[in-house]
Amino acid sequence: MINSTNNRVRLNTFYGNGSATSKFSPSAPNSNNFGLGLFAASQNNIIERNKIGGNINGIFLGGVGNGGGDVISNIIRHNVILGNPSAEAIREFGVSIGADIQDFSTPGTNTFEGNRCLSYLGSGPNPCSSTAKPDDDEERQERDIAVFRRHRLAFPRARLVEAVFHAGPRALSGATAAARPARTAVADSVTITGKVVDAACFMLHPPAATAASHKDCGAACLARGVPLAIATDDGMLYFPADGNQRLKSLLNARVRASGTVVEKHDPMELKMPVGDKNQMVVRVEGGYKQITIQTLAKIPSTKRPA
Amino acid sequence: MKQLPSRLTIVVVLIVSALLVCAGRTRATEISGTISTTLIIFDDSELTGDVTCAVPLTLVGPNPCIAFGADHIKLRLNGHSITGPVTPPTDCDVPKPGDKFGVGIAAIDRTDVKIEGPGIVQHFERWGILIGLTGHPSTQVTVKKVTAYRNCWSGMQTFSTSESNFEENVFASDAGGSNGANCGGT
Repeated sequence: MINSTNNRVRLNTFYGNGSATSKFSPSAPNSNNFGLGLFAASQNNIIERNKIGGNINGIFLGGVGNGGGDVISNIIRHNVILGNPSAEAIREFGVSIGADIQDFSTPGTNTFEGNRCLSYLGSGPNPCSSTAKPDDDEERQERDIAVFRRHRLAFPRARLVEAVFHAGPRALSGATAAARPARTAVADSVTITGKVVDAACFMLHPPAATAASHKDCGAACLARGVPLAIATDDGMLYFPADGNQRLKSLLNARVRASGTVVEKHDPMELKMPVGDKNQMVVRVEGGYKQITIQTLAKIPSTKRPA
Repeated sequence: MKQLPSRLTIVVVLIVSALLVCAGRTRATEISGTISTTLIIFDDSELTGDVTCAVPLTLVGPNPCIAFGADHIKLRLNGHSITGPVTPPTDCDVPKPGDKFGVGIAAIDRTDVKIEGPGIVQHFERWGILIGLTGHPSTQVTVKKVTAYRNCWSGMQTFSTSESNFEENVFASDAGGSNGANCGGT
């Protein structure tokens, strides 16, 4: 972009652009090629939420002697700028051939915010020195994963290894749980209280699974055979040994159940159809509790103190 | 009750007239096949098939395959491609005075024009898309969901361009024959 002002460049993908042999002068250590470049009087542009990788340089800000000065007042924020240049280009031409951000502008005249980048060549403060994250869906996903990980603490040895959408055959007739014969620990007789939840959703995002707004969604999942479980107040999930039969009329209700509990050590997969073509698989690697329910009763919901 | 048929007739006539007027105004010029001289569009246009560009380089400066000739119009690619004649780095342009070079789509001296994908602009001697030119600014240009791939210089180049939006595009493997010029995705 040359002499270009007040533009918005967002949500674009810049992959694998540029030649390492293209330089301002034969003696220049760096290439003048890039994913996105601003030159001459390019000002007041917003560069945001782009993905920029595998280019000789990721973002290139020109300066005097390097494509012209006056690249000022641009805002470069929330971009993912990584892998510039590629490892092969570094091997062939040296590390100084490029960077995620190659900055010849006057220090402090452009704004870098929340970019995810690793390498910076320039005289300004290194904007790649922080661990800032782009504020996009990726961040939301990370928040969900963090919530899951916090919740995971209640599952000894339980680990979510897959929670993705797979292209696959049409919707399964129902969900499956407990894929293999289980190795079990000694059964203990216990009484537990908690809420009947859609187990897969609860493991991914407990607040959503227990929200009133999830009730209809949970019922739809239940209709497709998604496993239910009792989520106790301390965050533990108990899967009924006999499937959903006894819990299905109690979805989202608070219950008290007594019975014998065993801890399973073999992996369990919770599979459920998503739309007509996709399937979500939540795999729990060894370490969940299974309850053989002897008594089950609905109890009043507890109210949290204000 | 006697007035009902005539009112109904009037309403029907008005609706049909409105539809005809709207259809006339929104009908797009359809583009496909081989373009052998620069195609200048003056109204909304769309690709109905892949386009191969064989525009001879007769003018000093850019020789676009498709050029915007009016403001407030758009070009929809409809999932098709616009393909130039070169495979970088072979036959890429070397910058020199009085140069003549090929470009995929040009919007020069234009206001409020839009290039809308999905679609691919590829294999041109310089830029896949050219917005503005020094002394010939463009403003309020939108380029959205377009892929610029394997063009010799930048996938998209803007000169003197302002108040424009470039969103959800892909710029991949461009500038493979930039020959010393400042080039890249954009």
